[in-house]
Amino acid sequence: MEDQNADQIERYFRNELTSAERKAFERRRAKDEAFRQETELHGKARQAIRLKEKAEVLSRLSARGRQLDEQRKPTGRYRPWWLGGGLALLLAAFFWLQWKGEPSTKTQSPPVVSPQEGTQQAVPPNTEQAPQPAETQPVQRQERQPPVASGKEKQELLFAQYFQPYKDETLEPSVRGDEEPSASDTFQQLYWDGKYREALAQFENLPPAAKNNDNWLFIQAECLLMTGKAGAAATLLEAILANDRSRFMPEASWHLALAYLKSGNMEKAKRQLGIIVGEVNSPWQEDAAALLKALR
Amino acid sequence: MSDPGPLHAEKLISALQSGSMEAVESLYADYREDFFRWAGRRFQAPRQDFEDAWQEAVFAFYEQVASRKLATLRYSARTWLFAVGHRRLLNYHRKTRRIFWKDEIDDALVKDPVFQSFPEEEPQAEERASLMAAMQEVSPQCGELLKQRFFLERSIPEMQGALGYQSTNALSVSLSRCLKRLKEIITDKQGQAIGE
Repeated sequence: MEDQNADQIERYFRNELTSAERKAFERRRAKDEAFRQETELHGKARQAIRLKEKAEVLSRLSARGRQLDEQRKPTGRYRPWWLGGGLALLLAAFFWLQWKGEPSTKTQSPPVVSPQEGTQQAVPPNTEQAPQPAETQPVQRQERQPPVASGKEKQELLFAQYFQPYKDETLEPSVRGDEEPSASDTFQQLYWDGKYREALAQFENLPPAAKNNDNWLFIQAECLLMTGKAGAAATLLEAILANDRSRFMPEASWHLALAYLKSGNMEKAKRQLGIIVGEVNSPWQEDAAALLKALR
Repeated sequence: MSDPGPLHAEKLISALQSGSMEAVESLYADYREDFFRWAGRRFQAPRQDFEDAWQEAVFAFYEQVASRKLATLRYSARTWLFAVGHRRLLNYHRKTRRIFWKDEIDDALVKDPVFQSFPEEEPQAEERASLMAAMQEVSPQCGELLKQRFFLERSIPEMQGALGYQSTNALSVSLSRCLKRLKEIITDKQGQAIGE
């Protein structure tokens, strides 16, 4: 009888029941609580198997996507030209002013190219006006000197020294016409503009599917880190890494270490940094090694 | 990227039915940029959303073909994938949809009700995490048996040949044990969740 039930339930999920069998099945399910529970549990087991397979496939596709995007970078149409052209213009202006011999220019510093240029991270607009935690304001990634403070203060300084909310071209909001932006667009725009508290509030307005999407959850974790909620950010980042479904996996791994650091969980921070140091392809391998050294 | 001919479609279906991940990745890579361009003309959305939609479409295609629900293609693989990707994008970006001239994908979307069932409804985050965690607890061998039977929807004799079991009876017993174990773990986890 039990086998017969199992067979019938499986055929139901495979859509193999005839119309009459299906009707009888539905009637029995409505009347027989044990049978209903058995059917529900079988459905969950099937869903678990499917979800695992889906996570594995999407993880592979994400990795392949990153690889394809990497291959595309050197052939970018505008960036090298733009950077080269901009630099040439600055140099030409500098030499022209030198040649003209204007007294005021002799005391001026030569033009400086922004340290952000040439890095892979896009520079978000207006971030200097955005409300940011005090620890992140004055610190430049390029000026990493070991801090002299100790204990909690040292953790804070190191966090501020290494953490920047992740932004790249895929996160840049697209220019839109006169149509009303969707909840996701608004969330993304607020994040891009550095309005992290507002972005967190807006996250609650996203559709359920978006709230379950690990890419949007990663952005939520970034907002949590920027607003000082490192513990909540760490929990979220742990889940994202376990799912392995986000396109921001290396970033999630690095920021999980920083979230542990910020929340004072030094053992976990060191362990996570150790993992990143061992990841040959991680863009944060060197940073992780330096931070690990500073923590020891 | 030109559309694959019928022979290519047959080879593709055969490769996907055998569970070839190389075929899945190739399908993903072959039309990816083409889809981004196509979708970019129809929706104002960040590239990341096009990526998500594209991955979902490729997985849906793989799932349908691998489980033999899609055994022959009425449309090219490109049309099928773009139509499902379009449905996914509609869920998020209905308001930013642009009116564009129609092509074969729009025709397929209008004429064929099969696309209305995509994307499949997914469990909520908490339920999803619990089910994923349950699958992590079954052994790799059980995981493979369960995948063959309930995801790829292989018959017992097919599995016996592929997995090298001595008899269908031995395979059925192993499969039954694995399924029972998975259900026990799921029930335990649900009990824990209720108790928290």
